[in-house]
Formats: sequence, C-alpha cells, structure tokens
Amino acid sequence: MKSKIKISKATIILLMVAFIGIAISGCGKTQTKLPLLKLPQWGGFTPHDFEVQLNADVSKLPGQATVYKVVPQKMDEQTVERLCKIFGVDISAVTIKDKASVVRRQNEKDLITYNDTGFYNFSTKNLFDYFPGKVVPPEEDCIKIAKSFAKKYNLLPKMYQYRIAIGAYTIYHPSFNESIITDRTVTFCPIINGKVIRGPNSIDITIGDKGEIEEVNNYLYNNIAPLKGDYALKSIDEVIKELKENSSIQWWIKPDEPDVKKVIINKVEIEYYGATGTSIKLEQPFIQPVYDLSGEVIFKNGKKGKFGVTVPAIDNQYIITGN
Amino acid sequence: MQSQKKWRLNKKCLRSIYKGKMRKNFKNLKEGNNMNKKIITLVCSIFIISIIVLPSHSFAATLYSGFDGVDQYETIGGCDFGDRYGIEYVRNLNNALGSKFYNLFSYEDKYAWETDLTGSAANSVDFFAFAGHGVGATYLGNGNAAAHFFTQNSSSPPYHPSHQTDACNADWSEISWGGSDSDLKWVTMYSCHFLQNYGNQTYYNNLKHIFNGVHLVMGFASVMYLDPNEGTEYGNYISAGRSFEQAFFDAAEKWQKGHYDNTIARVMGAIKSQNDSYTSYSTDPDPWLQHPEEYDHWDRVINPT
Repeated sequence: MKSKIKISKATIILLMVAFIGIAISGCGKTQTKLPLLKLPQWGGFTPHDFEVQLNADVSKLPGQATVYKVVPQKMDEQTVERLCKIFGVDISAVTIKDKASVVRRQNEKDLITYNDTGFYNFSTKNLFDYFPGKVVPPEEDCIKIAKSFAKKYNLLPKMYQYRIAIGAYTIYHPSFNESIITDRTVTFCPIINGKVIRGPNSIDITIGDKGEIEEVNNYLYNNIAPLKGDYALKSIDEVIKELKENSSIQWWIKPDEPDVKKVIINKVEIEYYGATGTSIKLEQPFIQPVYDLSGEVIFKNGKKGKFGVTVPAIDNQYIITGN
Repeated sequence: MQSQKKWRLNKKCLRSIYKGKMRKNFKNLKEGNNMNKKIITLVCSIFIISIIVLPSHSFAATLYSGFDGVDQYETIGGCDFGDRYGIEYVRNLNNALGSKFYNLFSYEDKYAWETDLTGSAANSVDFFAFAGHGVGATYLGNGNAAAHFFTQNSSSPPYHPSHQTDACNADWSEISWGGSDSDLKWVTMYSCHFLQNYGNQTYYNNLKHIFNGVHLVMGFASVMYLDPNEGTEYGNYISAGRSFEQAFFDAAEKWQKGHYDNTIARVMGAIKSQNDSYTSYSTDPDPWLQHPEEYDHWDRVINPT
C-alpha cells in the first residue's frame, strides 16, 4: 500500500516537473497560431533564378519578437459627437447610412464614420482644388500644422510613437508647364517599441490653402496588446530560401527591369506589418514582425540597381497553413 | 424625349447583354466543357430576366460597370511577370459598388482579353476597371504603355508567346475610350505604369489618344502594389458619393504606402469632370487631342513610410 502511494506521489511530481519544463522552455506549442501575413504584391518585375549574397551583419538580429493583437473598437456616439464638433459638421446631417458606415455632408464638408472599426474620413470641397493665388505652406510648416491640429484635438493614440512622412498632390496643365502643388499630406505612421508598423495603419492630415485642414483620414486602431510569449523568428537561411522561392514576400526593385542576376543584401532589419483590413472591418488582427532586407541588385546586362524585400518573420511553425 | 432615352437604354441593355455576358459564355462554349447545358440555361435566364427587369432600371439612369481582372499570369499563362491579385481587386471593387452600378461583365484570367479594352466591351459600360500587370511606355518599343494579358484574345492556348506579343498588350495606340458610340465615363487601371510618361512629351502625346470622350482615367505613373483591400476601399468611397478622383487617391494613399520609394497615383481627364461622382457628373468632354486646353492631370505622390 505504502509503495503504491509512493509511486503515485512520484508520478505526480514527475508530471509537475514535466509541465513546468514545457512551460519554461516556451516551445510554442501553446502559443496562438497566426494567419499567414498578407502583404500587398509588388506590381513590377519579379526576379527568378538569381544568386544571393549576404553582406549584412546578422549576428545581432533577435531570435524572437513580440506579436501584437489589435483590440477591436467600434464607433461610439460620444466619438461621433466629438468628431462632428472638431470638423464642424452637424451630427444630424446624415446623407447616407448603412450597416457599416455613416456619411454626413454639410457646408461642403464630408465626414464618413465607420461603425465596426472606429475609423473616419473627413474632407472639404477645397481638397485638390487649384485656383490662382492658392498658397500651400512648405513641408516643414505643414508638418507643424498637422502636429498642432492632431495635438489640439487629441487625434493620435497615445500608445504609439510616430514617424512622419509627407507627400503631395499636384496638378499639371500644359499652360503651367510644370506641376503645381495643391495640397500636402502629413502621414503619422505608428511605431511600437522603436519599430515602425507598416501597412494601412496611419493617420493622414492633408493641408491646403494657407494651412487649411482639407482632409483627415484615420486608419489607426487605438490599442494593440502583446500576445503572451515571444515568437521565434525564421533564421536568416530560411529567409534567403523564401526569397529565392518568392514565397509570400514583397519585392521592390529600382529600376523596374527584368533579368536580375544577383541580389546583394547589405542591410537586414526587423519591423512590423499590420494587415488589419479595410475601414469596414478588421481583417487580420495581428501585428506581426517582418524582415526588411535591402541592398543592391545586378542585372544580367551588368547594370546595377537597388532592391528592398519584406519577408514575414515569424517561424513557420506558428503560422496556420492552408490560408 | 423620355421614350427616346428609354429606347436608347434598352438598346444599350441588349447590346451589352450580347457583348458582355453572351460573349463570356461564348468563350466557355468554345471550350466544349461539360458545363454547356448549365451555361445555356444561365444565358437564357439572364436574357429573359434582363428583358423583364432592365427596362424598369432604365428610368433610374442605371450606371453599368465592367471589369477585367487577371491573377494567374504565371500559373496558367506561363508569363514570368508572375501571378498577382487582379481578380480579387476587381471582385472587391464590384462588391463594394453594390447596387450603385449594374455589372455587365467581369472577365477573369483566361477570359480577360486585350480586346476587352481595345474593342467594344469597355466602351459599353459607364465604369470600367482593369487589374493586373501593366508595362510602361519604354517597354514595348513603340512608345505606348499597355495593360498586359497572358491570353491572345482567346481562352484557349497558346498563351503568351512573349511579353511583347501584340495580342497580349492593350496599348495606348489601340485604345479609344468614349465618343458618340460609347457610354464609358470612368476607367480605373490598377496596374503599374499605365499613366506614366517618364517626363517624355512624345509618350504624353501618345497617351492622349485614349481620351476620346471618356471623362477620367485613374491609374499609376510608377510601379505600384496590388492589394485586394484597395478595391474594397475604393468602391466604398465611390459608393459614399465621393468623387472618383478623391476615392481613387484616398484608397491609394492608404494602400500604396511603399517602404522604399514613391508611388504616384494619377488621375487624367477633362477639367470639367474632375469632381465627377456616380451621383453627379459632367457631360462628355471632347477628345483630348481636339481640345488639349480642357484637360489636366492630377498626381498624388505617396512617399515611403
């Protein structure tokens, strides 16, 4: 009887040790499996049958990274009221309403709010308009105006830091004989733990005549939460293998020409990508790390160019296959 | 006046049914697959339903759409430009447009042909979109950019003898959108380079040839990225009553944020059509080559993030 009790105690201890061991080793069997990251496809020439030369120092690349999950959000009445106030549109000025969105149009202003994502688009009639005497402030001033507007109305979620990019709208007419800038867009790209989150996740503020705010597009989720336990990343060998196989990667090559003979990788970085979907609905809720490879290409005719490649970084054992 | 319009629209419906859905199914019939019975039934049903239903739509100034989407360039066609999300883009765009446009045709992969752009199909609808590969004005050697296909105006092989094969490319010199015999007002070319002239005036003049009364052509003057979600976003903005220009630029702004270089989204067309939306639009413009002073182009330069 005593020996039986002893055996069962030993079994329990053994089981406990095994359980703790599995938990500590973080072998990942219990981690949430992730969907294959859907990257937009580069429209240009895709290289085939090329050599790869790795010049970048990859010794300091992390072996693991955090994956984040979007906290779903809805457009609530309070937020709608606040937005209507900010943009000067009457809350009752509803022109189109459906399950996914509400369009309010008034005084040549237009506000679309999205019920299931909490996103919104605001624009005025002056967007893209050109008229003699229109003065669009220079880039630095537009950045200041956009930052000040975003701060005044608390438009940027606090959980991120931001990298700023600036683009422009132009009009070309033969009589001008040049392109004239009609608006500038300041884009706030979110950064988490020092790494930019790429993809359709940003807040864009467009500035027109004499600093007027002509458009605000918000495509950013207010909160993302880290998933439990870091995820193992692909080895650089695996990344190069996928690069050669052209599987689930996103190219960029300049000039856009065929017949790449050799790819020389000079830099490897880790960033994030969020394929979070449209304004209507949240698609993939996960913000996943990606490898960002860049460097030189050599074409078969000896010409040189530049390239960049984005490769999903999470080890394939955590990726749901068949999606 | 009203009866004249009704007659015109009825004629348009019949013409479109013939040139659109009938042709697509004719493509199937030619293949001699075992779906023939189903197809014949489907065609007859569409024809009968159209005769009954469409005249009542006519009074509401129904707008028609048509799409060409190509995915499997490499898998089916052996084109080493590679497979792309062309079909998904046009399907999403069509879905997002919902009932705002009556979809007359949606040709996909081997059913998408050069002649859909150069012949009567695109001209038979109000809004046409192509999604797939595009080649720039420097590529074909004739100073014309083109929408690229793997087919040679047939759903049967041989496919794609070379990238430069004429039947695989709907180039500017072969396209004439709009005009007295056309309903086409707005075109979206979701492909690389279709509206790019590389700062070259000769290319720019070649490009003007496509504007024979079409109001606006939306596209890219650079390499771009293909993402099916951009179709949804673009269609939603159009459905929300925004102008085609703003809808296209805003969708591009969101989805074309490349990481390494600019993407240039471009809208070209008549100045009076700049603010066209599906609910409110200008009269047909004169061809660009006749009245160049009435045309502009607008660019959205999307910088890397």
